[in-house]
Amino acid sequence: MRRRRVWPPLAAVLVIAVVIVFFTNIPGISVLPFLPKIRIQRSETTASSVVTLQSVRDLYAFNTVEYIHRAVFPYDYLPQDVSITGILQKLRTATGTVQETLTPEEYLYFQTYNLAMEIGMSLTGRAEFVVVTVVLTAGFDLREWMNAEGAEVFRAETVTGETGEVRRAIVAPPPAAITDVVVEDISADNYPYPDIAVSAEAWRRIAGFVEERAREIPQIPMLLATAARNGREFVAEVLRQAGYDEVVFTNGMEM
Amino acid sequence: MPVQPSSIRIAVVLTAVLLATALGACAPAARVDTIAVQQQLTDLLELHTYEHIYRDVVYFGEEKSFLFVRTVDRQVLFAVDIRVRAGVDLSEGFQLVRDAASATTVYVRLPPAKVLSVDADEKSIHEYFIREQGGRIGLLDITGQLEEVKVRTELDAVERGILRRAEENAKRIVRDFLIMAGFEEVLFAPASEDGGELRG
Repeated sequence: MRRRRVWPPLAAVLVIAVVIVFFTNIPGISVLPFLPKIRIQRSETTASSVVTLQSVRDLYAFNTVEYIHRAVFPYDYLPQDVSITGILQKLRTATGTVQETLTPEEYLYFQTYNLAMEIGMSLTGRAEFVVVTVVLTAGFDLREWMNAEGAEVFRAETVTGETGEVRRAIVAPPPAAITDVVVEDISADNYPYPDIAVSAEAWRRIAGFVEERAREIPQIPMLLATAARNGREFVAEVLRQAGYDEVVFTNGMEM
Repeated sequence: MPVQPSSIRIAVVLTAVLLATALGACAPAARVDTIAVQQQLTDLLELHTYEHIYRDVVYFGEEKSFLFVRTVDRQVLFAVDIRVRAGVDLSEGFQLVRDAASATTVYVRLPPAKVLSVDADEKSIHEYFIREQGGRIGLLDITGQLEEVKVRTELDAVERGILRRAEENAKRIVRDFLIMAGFEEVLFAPASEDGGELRG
């Protein structure tokens, strides 16, 4: 008698399992795909985009070095010895502006914390983060230099040395500058970290925040020095091929 | 007819196997990710001479339903600028030779113009609306769209002649520089695919 009571529910479970596995898409895998499927669950993703050309422009950038800066938002901008409790305590008794009241580290923490909260990023519990890669390119903006008077930026002279006559080029290059700061586009192929739920607007704000700080990283002077050196080496080589024996760089336009 | 104990055992085993197959697909999988070693500082010799700016309007929508009841409805519509930059990479075969017969003439061969970068400008993002019912939209959902668009955008820029304009501008920059350096005539040799030597 007891066995008879067990059999019907067991048969029912078996039938349901067979239906689920073979005739639905619930398991997430297609078992015997030729069988007809009952669409108990339905998923539809639509993605579309229309691109239009907005504008074109001439560029005069001679890029001689690039630097990859990778930052973890928000954690790279939350100094460890600072806490939001301490900041709020300080602000309660403050008389000046927030920036005047807080130290640079506290102000950075305050800005980062506020941005994370505004875009709905969790800093506690399941901590969320996004790795942002910024590519800083340095070199020379040649626009002004191209429009300058020839004598202001280039002079040639012939001097007599121990080995005879020497053709010397004196060049005043433009100052090395950061010519471009680009936040690298994220895609599933190049982003091996967990995806994060943020809106397009939130991503704009995060990218802007990181990009702004990337312009102030301590490596900037080194980057500019490398850019200047690489540019000079190239120009000197070209001028030697053009027949100059010596190339001298001056600080005419800063050079 | 009494049910045999062996039948019950077979039924239990079969059910367990089927359910295990079904649930197996839902089991969390450990994910080990690695990122390629990338050089932080790279020397370049790139002359960026022309740029196209495109506006891309992106829509992403996802709907899910279970037993005909909508469980997920996520949509976002936003616009973003895509910048396509072209120019010449001078490290790929720039050559300069003086004319043997005339001291004021120089021959130059520039590498062929190419697209140097295609990038979505995050600062230009404008979100028109977002709906997140039954789950939030992931960053990869938003940006994943752009990868395919970037390929199409680059092709469009090439079709519209970005490379020709980039080459013209690069020649103008090099010519102006060499005229400043004392040459009266700067002659450009066609870009060489095989890197053949330029003779004066």
